[in-house]
Amino acid sequence: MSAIATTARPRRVTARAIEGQELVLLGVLAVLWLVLSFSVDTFFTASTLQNLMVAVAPVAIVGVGMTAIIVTGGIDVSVGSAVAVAMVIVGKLVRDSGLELLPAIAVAVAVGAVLGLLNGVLVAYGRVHPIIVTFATLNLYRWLAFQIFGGEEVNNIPGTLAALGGGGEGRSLGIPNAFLLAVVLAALMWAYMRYSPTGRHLYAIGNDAHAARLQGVRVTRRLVSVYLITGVLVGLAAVVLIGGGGRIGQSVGTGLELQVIAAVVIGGTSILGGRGTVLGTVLGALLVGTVSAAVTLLGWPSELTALFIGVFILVAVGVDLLRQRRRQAL
Amino acid sequence: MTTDTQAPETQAPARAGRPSIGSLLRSVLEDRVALLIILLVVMLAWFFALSSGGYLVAPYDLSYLASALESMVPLAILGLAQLLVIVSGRGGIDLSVGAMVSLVGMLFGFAYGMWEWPFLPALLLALAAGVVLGAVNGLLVAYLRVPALIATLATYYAYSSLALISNDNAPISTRPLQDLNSITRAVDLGGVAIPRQVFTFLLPVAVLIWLLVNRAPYGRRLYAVGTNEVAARYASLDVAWVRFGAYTLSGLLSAVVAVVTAAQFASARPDAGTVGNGMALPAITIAVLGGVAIAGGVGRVGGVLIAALLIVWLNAGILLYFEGAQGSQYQLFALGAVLLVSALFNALVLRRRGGT
Amino acid sequence: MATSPPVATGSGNAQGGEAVTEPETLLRLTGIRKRYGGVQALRGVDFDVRSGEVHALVGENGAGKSTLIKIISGAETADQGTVEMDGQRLGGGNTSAALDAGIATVYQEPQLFGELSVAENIFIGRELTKGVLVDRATQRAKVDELLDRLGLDRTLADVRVADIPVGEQQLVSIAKAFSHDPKILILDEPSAILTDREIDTLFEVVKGLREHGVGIIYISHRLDELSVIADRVTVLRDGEKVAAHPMREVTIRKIVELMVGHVPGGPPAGHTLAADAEPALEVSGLGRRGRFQDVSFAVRPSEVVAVYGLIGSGTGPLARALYGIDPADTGTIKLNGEPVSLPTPQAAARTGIALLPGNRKAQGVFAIKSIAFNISVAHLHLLRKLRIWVDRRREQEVATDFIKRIAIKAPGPQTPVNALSGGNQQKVVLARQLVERPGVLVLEEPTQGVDVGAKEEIHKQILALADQGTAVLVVSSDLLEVLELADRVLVVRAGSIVAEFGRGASQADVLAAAAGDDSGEAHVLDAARAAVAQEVETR
Repeated sequence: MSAIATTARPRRVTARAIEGQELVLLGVLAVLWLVLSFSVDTFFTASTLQNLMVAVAPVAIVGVGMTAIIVTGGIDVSVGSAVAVAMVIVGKLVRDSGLELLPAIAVAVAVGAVLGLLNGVLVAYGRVHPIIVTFATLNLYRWLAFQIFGGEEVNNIPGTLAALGGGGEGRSLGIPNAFLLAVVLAALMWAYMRYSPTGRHLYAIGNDAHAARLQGVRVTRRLVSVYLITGVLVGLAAVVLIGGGGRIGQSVGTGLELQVIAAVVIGGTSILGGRGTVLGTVLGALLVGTVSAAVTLLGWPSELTALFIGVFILVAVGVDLLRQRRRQAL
Repeated sequence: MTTDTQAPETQAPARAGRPSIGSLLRSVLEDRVALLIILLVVMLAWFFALSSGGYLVAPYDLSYLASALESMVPLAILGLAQLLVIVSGRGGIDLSVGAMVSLVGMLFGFAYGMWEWPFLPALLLALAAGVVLGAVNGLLVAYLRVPALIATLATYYAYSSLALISNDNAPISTRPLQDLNSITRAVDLGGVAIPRQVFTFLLPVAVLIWLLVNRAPYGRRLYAVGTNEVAARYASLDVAWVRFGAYTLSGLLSAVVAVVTAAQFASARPDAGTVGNGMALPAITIAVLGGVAIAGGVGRVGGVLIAALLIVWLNAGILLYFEGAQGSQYQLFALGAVLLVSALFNALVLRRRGGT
Repeated sequence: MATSPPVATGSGNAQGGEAVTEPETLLRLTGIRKRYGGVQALRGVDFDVRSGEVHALVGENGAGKSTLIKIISGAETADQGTVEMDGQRLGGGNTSAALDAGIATVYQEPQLFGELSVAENIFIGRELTKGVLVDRATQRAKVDELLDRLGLDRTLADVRVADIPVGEQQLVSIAKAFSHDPKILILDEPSAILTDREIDTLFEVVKGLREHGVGIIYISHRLDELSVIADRVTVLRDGEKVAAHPMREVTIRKIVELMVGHVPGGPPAGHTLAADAEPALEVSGLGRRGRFQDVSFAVRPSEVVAVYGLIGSGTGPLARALYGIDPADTGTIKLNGEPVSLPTPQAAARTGIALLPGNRKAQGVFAIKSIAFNISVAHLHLLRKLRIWVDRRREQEVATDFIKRIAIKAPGPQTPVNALSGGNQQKVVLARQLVERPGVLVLEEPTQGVDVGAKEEIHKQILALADQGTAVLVVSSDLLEVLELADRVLVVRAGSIVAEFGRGASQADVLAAAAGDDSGEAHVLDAARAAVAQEVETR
């Protein structure tokens, strides 16, 4: 039977490696870096860039998981508290029981996984909106962290975890290991969401969870898994944050969730679900980190960082909405 | 689907004539206000028992409860603000209320505390500022259709940073502000000292909001928009305007809280509404506990007020039960647990009522 | 009366004679009875589908088509009767079991995931894997093969569904259903959202499926299409099977007569029409790109004008343009002689136009709110005391009054609307439009999914309203309703008014006009339509 030409509309090949939004982001980032390297002598130096990457790493790592969560139409604001729990547990074990690097990572991941699993179960089975569930666990986990802190911060942590820290031992070929870890994790998640059937299901769930369920997608299972994975990533971020050692304050992690969500949204992932990639998130995290570094280097009040982030979020969402509208007019 | 899929539905089965314990229980569970009152009474009884048994650090009595009302005022008002935006539907929420409190507080601090404006003009300035800040949210959410979570997250960032920059991260504690504290001093009612702002701020605001929601045409429109946005459009309601109004009112109410908080602490602090986890979280908790449905269209003023009382008095009791810093930590636990349980409960009730 | 010439079928197999071997019966339903929503939807229906045949299922709204389909696809269970597929009994109430048995359904709205590609949509939930990853190569090959077999463009496979037009999405839905290797394929109003060219593609696809031995159940209101594509037709009316014939043995008119049964007894008590009154509503050259074009008509006070057209003909968008929901791009609207602009529903309401929306669940009711709330919500400015107070006593009075006036079966004005039956819910939404007698009332599908009693009541109200002076415009795809209510019927086809009938027009005429073609494009359907038109002329 001869093929019947359907329409003469130009075809767009799906799932390109880089979508429109990421290119724009890359451009913005490049321009920003360019401008900064001219206005501030110290910007394009090894140490500044390394510090930037170390600062960005935990946000990017958690952001990888948060991207998957937001693609399914959910959200997780408890990551800041969860990271505190993981950090205080691992910090104390490293200091008091002489835990080595690899076991420390294992413990951190396990703690994060349990916390993430609780979120996932409540969202998937309790049928409660994720914002409410994770608002609640934000408080519960913070309380848990305080209990484990026992009223005082954790000091004198040895440099066992320096391999993932910000100092000299934590670099390979000059690039902080923490950042490399973030890139590797992002690559894995990118591959998962692009090439694995269950990864593709996440987009279906974000589009229409009900229809997805009817067509054989294991919605509950997928939902639990994205929160679980994010918990694991929180554990890894905790290890990175402990890094070179030193002290862990009781309010550690406060506000992390906002930075992560900002990175994800700026990176082009739609809060309505069904669309987004981790590449955008990593770029978003870099953008957020760059803004923060820029503000410091330019000698501006550090509070301005938040202002810029707010503006960037709105611009990113605005661009996203415009693209949506233009597409609907097809 | 073929067009005849709208099959005529049967009527809901009539309830059995004789009221039974089961149906009584069910109707209590479904009337959020009644349920909250019962919980409140139970909790109070529990703490009174602990107090008389000597388990508490200090007596849990009427004076203590009255003094605790001080923290109830800002939270209840912000809870009402969340009621309005969440009821308006389409994922409505306002994460920026705490930031608005901080920013308007600083503005008020400048006007009243530094530029020596008289109280009334300074108050009006603060309210106007709240309207403007809320209107920005309203513009983003209602007209530009930005999801509320993101829009108010962005304004949270913007407003909180502006508040911090405004006075170089320093509070304003000049004389006029310190004197302003007098409007929050206690009023003696039959031997119990009740903070003045309960009567001067909370009561009027609560009454006005109740009237707005239950008696004014706007309130009807708000609930209609939150229940079914499309049907509201077909019923010739200006959906965008109604939503815009909800967010603007939220800004206005945040401004009221800003002034009260400045008076309460005798200074305008740049992190007044954003310190710790901020004021937005407890406000949302109170709204959800008070029976406001996240999907929109459902929520009662009475529920929010009683939920606020519940949370505040629960926190007060916890402070007495645990020693030192532990108390404030357990308050976190209580907040989280209460939010979770009430949300799970909301979901259950909604499912039984036949909602999706 | 002379017998009309048989309509050309265009079916590949029938050569005017009988087939050499009797094709096997794949699906057999016997004695199906189903009570649905308080109404006896099916009363002992027999239905069967053979391999390699296109079996059309027709009937008016409410005749029972969709209930029957739901039973076949497993979404519902019959109260009595059996469903047999390949000789095996099917239990019902289980869509996966039906799918496993080889029954696939394609609904009117394509249920695809916009962000995923066509290939991914086809294989969602049952992806082919190589280890833990999607085996894209094999999947792609299968999809290519599938698209080829259906005559679709191979390059579609990797395109994101959100990027292809809705008509093609529908074809993708069909490809997806076909990928389950079904023995029975149910197509529910497949051409409703397709353009003419896409319909041609659809027919090619259907013919190809038929050649593969698939049994196809084709549900459509577009009778002219059936004459091209269908081998047999079964007509349902009021839950009963009134006829089943090979397509070549019936004419369109015969089918219509079977669908509607007898003409309803007597025209309703005539209402007076102010003979030379100024039109209350006058529309000229109205158009909205892609939906309707160059529409002109007038409605006088007390006149009931119906706009009749098949799904997708543009009647819905026209109604919505008159109410400011989806405003027109071109043309003018005049109310009582004055030109008005209707960019929003508020503007329409202000000028005195009211609209009863077509989909009460999505567009009409506030389900959890009370009857009083639902009625008053559009008229809060009327119920104000001192401008800031809603007069609740008055609100309750108004609601109670309506409950009595239009016989809404409910305990009281405080009853939540979701406790009412569909017909009563519709009455509540209608009441909302009647609070202030509107100058112009537009009703979209006023009695869809409504039981017979409520339907009569609503019709009574509409006519009473017209008697009081309102200009009424009924936009409906219910032929019987249209003929019963209207002083004049305007027939819409492909976005334009193609015919006008007065009272007493025959159903066949109106239906034929709605299905008739005036576009002139060389077209598969032309022959059939010409035959239909000729039939009308030889009446």
